[in-house]
Amino acid sequence: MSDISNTSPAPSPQPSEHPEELLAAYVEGMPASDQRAQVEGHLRECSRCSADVEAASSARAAMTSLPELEAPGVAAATLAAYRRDSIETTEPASRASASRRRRRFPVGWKINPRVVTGVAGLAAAAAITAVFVFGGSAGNVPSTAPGKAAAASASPAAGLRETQTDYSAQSLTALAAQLSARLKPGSTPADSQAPRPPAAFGPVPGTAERLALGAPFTDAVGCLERGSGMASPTARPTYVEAATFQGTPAYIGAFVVQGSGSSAGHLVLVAVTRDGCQPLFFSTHSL
Amino acid sequence: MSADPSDEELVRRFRAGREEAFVALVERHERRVYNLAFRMLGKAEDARDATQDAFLSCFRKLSSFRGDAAFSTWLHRIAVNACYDSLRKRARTPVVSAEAPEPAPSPDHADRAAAAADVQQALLAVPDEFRVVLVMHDAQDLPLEEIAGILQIPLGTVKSRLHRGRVALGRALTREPQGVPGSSKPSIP
Repeated sequence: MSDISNTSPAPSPQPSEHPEELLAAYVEGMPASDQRAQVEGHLRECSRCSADVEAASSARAAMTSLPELEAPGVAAATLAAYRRDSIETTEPASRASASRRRRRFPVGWKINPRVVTGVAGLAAAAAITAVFVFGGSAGNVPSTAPGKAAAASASPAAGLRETQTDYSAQSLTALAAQLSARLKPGSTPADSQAPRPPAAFGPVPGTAERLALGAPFTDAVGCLERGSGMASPTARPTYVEAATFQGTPAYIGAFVVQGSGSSAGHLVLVAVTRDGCQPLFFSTHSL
Repeated sequence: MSADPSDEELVRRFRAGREEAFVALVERHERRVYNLAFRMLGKAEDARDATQDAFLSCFRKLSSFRGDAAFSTWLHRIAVNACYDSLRKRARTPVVSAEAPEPAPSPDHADRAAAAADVQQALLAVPDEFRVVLVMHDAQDLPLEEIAGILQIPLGTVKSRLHRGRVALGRALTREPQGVPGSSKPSIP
């Protein structure tokens, strides 16, 4: 606590004035001094200031007894919103909606720095701009490789893909690299050296098309959009899968955020819990 | 044992593209920012939003941070502005019904939590420019000089607002509680 009686030259209280600055110090326990004697002299003569000091003392006691509240845990949500804003700063058409949409990020999720560190090498290799893992433990090895999951998948027209793949941060990053490679301008299935992405890969541009893929698919896309904050006209879902992430039943989704001018846009890969649509993983990748 | 990096070092790392520094800065300061926001706004959801807005604004403006003031002072200034923005938005929103502020989550005994809720409700009756000084000094223990730096006002003005804020709160506390039904009267230790 600072000693507020010593922070400035002391104005001399005059009987006709109300020395508010000194009264603030007096309420905190001004040490015995000429200044204190002056204040007490004023208080004997001024009923208004005496009443004010009584009220101020009660208020000070009440304020100092207030409990300190726990931190809300906004780091992950703030970082995700910051990264998305950074993406959209390069996309002028979508700037106006950035502020509105960032509130869709749930708060209260912790980033696991060990996972962020663990995927750093992959991130560099795949032109990844950011990777966020929410909660959970680091470094799980997928029980099924993404390529194997692709082989087991159904066609997109059949609706929601369900696989037995248990993804980790690393295998999701590998999946994102595959999808990004497929999406890069000029790449074709014939010239791409990357493993073939899952068969459900493909643009799902509108509500009608989503509905045609069935309710489970529509529900999964809605869950991914709610959980990741990716509901936006400029964020196009391009891949959806029902799998697990580090053992938790999850929807895995990829969105393409459209570019403008010379920018080809970004791929955003997200994982959310199937129960409650809570975020598990979020990464962005330049196209 | 290595010392934690300073705020300024974390800022430097963040500017160099190391996002873990962002997380470290938020985690280091969010409790203080959130407490300020909650005491200013009285609602947990609004306080969370204001906290997130403050950090987002902070990181967007980080390139303009020259280091003339401590990072925490600069952050507090942004947080106060985020609270004022929230209060302005609230003033523009039609009031549908009289709503008591949320009791602050507290691990303490129920009586103490109820008393804290009453103090919080009374606090919201204190004018904004007095309340912010009151919260930062009496609840958060910030030195008056730092508050003057955060608000960019003279030290004497800080002291005057502090006294007026206390007087306003003290009078609000002695009025009949109008908040949570069944809550106890203000209990001042």
